[in-house]
Amino acid sequence: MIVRLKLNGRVVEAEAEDNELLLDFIRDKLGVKSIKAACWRGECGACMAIVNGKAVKTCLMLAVEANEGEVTTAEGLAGNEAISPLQKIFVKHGAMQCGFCTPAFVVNVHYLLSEDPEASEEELKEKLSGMICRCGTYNQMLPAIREAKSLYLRERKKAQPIASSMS
Amino acid sequence: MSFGSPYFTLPKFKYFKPKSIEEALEYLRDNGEDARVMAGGVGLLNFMKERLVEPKVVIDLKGIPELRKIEYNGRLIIGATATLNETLSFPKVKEEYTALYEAISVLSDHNLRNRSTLVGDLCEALPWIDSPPPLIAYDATVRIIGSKGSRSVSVKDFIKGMAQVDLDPDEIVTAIELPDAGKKRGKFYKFARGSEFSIASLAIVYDPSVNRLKMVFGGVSEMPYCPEELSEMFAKAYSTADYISMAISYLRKNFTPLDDSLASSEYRLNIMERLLVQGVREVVQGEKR
Repeated sequence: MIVRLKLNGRVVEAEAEDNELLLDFIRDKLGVKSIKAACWRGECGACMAIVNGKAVKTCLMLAVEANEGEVTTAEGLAGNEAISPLQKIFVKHGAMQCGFCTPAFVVNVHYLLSEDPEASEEELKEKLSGMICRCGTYNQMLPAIREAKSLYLRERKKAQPIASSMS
Repeated sequence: MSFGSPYFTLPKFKYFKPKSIEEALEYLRDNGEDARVMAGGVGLLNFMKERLVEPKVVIDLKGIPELRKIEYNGRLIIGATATLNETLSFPKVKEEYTALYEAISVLSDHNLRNRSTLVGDLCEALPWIDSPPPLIAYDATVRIIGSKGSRSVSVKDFIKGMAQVDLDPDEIVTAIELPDAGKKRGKFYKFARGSEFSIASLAIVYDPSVNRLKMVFGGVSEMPYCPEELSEMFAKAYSTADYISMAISYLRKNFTPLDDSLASSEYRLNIMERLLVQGVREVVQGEKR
């Protein structure tokens, strides 16, 4: 069937087989390559994308399930810039080595911090536990995430003028 | 791209996304054993990649709005396509069904919990999945609808063995229903390496108003292990210490846990003892001398 979805802000459509994984559909049919295929069974998280507002592993989802939905990958985070502020923070802290898993981590951290910028470090660690960085750069990612937290907190405050200061 | 390995691709099937339960039942009736229903798909798609199941038709229940609901009206009702994260963020679950909340919190990982569902996990009926034990401990029931009408069965009777449940090919599970938790206090303990499959787990629920204790072990046998004798013994015991030693000797005498690549039988029995001691102390302590 024809699958139509909003990918990184642009409406795109392509023919998908019923048994086609969303991962393969996005990479091969839509040409977005930042999401990676590695374990194909939901263990590594390299295929992470934000689908309808939730970060999910696209190797365990059918392309047809995303029909009429919205998908965001690392390419969609930067807007008109070359890279997003979160990606800049990752670069600054050297929070990567080979870079294979980096787009997926960036997408998941963006999703988690957008949902709850006040999450504790323990919570964030737990929520990132479904992902693997085989270079083991977790210790570089943690300071990056710490810095990103204050960025997302500021963004949230800007977005919603604090009601309590009015009362 | 699939490197030619079957593990990376899915077998061929036709995908249907019905908009109502009646429509879903129609697809099921028409396709019989060739059809599989899908909720989150995490389990089903993995099994299909491994060619453990090869349905000709996959029926996606996510298009049916009423199955997505979680509601509380004296009883907690969790719909078939409500995700685990949606279940976790339903306030009543955290406040009153603590053992269930704790079990779901350590089940797989945050991203998979955005997709997988409580009902899906239950229907897989695999011993290392953490959610069935607390459901049994809270006396949950499964709501089922089929071409012959609807029925309810307790979670305990619904699980008939490893990967075997009391569900006909023309039936679907619509929801899980938990009775009012009242004053019940529950906890869940998981013993595993990291967030991996449970080697042993314990869901323990204590109701101080009727002095009733219910313990359900997971991961130690082909299906959740919940001997009535342990609850009966509790009513007779005159102290927690007395109960713990009685319960341990009961386990040693009457139960042989699974022996597999995760852990030996003896190892599991030792872990069960530790969980039991910790559980009874933390949940019951102070109520019974």
